[in-house]
Amino acid sequence: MATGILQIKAISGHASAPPGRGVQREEEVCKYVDVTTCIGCKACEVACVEWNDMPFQQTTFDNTYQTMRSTAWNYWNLIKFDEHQKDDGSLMWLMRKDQCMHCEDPGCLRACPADGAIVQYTNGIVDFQQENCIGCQYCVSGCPFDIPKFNSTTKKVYKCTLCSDRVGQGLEPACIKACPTGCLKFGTKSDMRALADKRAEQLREHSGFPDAGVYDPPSVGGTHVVYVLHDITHPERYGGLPANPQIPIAYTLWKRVAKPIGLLLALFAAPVAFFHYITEGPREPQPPDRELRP
Amino acid sequence: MGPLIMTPEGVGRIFAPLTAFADGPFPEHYEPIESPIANPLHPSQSSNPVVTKMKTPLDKYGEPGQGFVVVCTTYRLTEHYHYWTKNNPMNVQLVPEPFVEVPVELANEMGITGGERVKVSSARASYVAKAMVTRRIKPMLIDGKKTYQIGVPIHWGYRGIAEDEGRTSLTPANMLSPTVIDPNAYTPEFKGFLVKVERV
Amino acid sequence: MTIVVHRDELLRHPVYTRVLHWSVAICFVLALLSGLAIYTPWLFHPLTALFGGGPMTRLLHPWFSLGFVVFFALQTVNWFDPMTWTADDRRWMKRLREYVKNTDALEPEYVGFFNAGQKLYFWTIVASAIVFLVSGVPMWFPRTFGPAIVAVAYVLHDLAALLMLVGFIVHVYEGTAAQPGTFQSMTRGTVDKRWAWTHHPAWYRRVTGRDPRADYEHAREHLAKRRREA
Repeated sequence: MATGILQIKAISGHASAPPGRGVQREEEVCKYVDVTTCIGCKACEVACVEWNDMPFQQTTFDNTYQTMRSTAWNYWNLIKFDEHQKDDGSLMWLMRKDQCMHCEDPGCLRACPADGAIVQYTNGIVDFQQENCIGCQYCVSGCPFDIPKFNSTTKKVYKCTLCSDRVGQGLEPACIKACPTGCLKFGTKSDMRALADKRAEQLREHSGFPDAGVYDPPSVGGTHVVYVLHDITHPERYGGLPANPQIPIAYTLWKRVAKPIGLLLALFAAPVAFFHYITEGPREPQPPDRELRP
Repeated sequence: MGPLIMTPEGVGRIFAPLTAFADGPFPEHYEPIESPIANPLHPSQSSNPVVTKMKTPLDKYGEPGQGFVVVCTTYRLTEHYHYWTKNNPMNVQLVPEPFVEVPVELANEMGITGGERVKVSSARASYVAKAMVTRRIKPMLIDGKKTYQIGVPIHWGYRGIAEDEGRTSLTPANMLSPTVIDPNAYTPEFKGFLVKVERV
Repeated sequence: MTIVVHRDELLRHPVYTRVLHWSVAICFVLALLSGLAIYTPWLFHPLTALFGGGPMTRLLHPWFSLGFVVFFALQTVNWFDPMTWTADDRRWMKRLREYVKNTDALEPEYVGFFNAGQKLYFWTIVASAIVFLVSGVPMWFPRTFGPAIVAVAYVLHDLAALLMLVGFIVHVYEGTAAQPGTFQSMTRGTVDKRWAWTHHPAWYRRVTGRDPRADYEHAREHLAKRRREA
């Protein structure tokens, strides 16, 4: 199927346009996550750890069912649990599957200075290529969702790959496969977005959630993971999902505009020095030993 | 096909002869052997008269008058299965240590913070584990009295990755619950009994 | 300390100064090259090859920079007095245009051990080194400081680097081609007395006790006489 081919769309820190750009039309993939029907069973967490052969780590009790505070270099998928008390006194136990959002306009890729360390495929998956990573962690601050995590031993950064290795063979990601309730689905972006919109409408019309909606933030160009939330007006209640995720302005204005101009201006000093030498000439100690040119 | 698959007629019965139910023939309400109140329908026979009770020295029952005022229930988690996943690193990574779920109102009353160790005692045994302070369990108003409920997941005890590291309960949760056997299904009363909660 | 080392030469920079200068210079150039590799995609591959690849470049850059900061701090202590800004320096700056256009053969008589241009460069490095250090630490430990601080640090760090790059190019030009006889002051440590009375007359007067202009006139007459006789 068309989504099974991995073709590179953007490469971090790369001087020229990615090869083959604009040659083939690809379908974009998307993960659909219905937060309203998640039961917090963590089958998706286990599937991710097992598929990616990640080592176990010791966790401690932290007054919550949440496995750990945040994703880690070896834990890319985490259900975030939040107890939200509504104004009428009733309680909602919110469970949101947290992982890389695979933004259409990724902040990590924009911030990264290493050639080929981060690639974005035409199907929308943003993948880290650890062989090219230099461990500078610019991506950590470029990401509005606090997803990339650094391993201080290997000095590389890691995150969810949207199972690019499975998707590349026409399979769904491991987490999608493991989910027992059907709240996780995988397909093309347009299909999953349409499904999410329909589910949100169902929640609004029939299930008593007038503020239900789809989380697919345009401020990062949309994401290849969409959430159906009971309350789209308060995404921060769902484990700190940012309402308006932004790539820090420095990475845009500075990196794309000011940096190249700045470098040119700075190196301008060398030709100026050269032309100064050939016009004004050196200052010889006085009196000069030989006749100077007039 | 309807849901009532255990009757030959496939529909419910208002009259179930003794061969069908050990405690029939009519539907009834009984309180568990340990209950914060006496049965409102017939206080003189509060609990089921035909339950099987064991007769070991451990089979004692507690009463609210003895300080056992908190209702306790035991249950399972999705992250663990019975007593063997406490030896599996993956499951232990998901839920690492034994804990007791305590309502936030009870925690505030007793000055317990999340993560602090508490001792839950019934007439039979004690169970020590960390407290998970939560808003999900609301206090109940029973017979005009505010009654708290706590929850104890069962999956730890004796040995396991957490126990061997000293992050332990060592006592299985089912030492707390009474071994009082349902006359029809033969399941013990794991789901409702009385305890007291203390700080350690 | 004896200043006059040979009949026509003066000791300008002692061993300690020269060792510090070249230590600073080496650390600066290494930090500059490794920093440029990370800064510009076009230079990334050729420059990272110098350091053993991308990760090595990124690992070494902060250590080169720390070396630069340490050696330069010692240099600041070493040169604090001669670099003090005075009223004469303000006067010198007003004549910057004439300096660039080489209008006068000799520097004004109030120019001491360092002229105002050199002092300006020095204090710019001091300010930049502080900016580098303060912005570099969050860039080295981003998760401790958070994305907002790191993004600001990133811009400040790069601005200071660009300023230093300009200063570096000008400094190398001035220290080599633009002013013959200067480079040896930092390698051998000595300068010709003619260089001294031309570029730093007040220093010449202070260390020899002689009038720089008078000695210059005397040398000029001597040279003219030799030419007439040749």
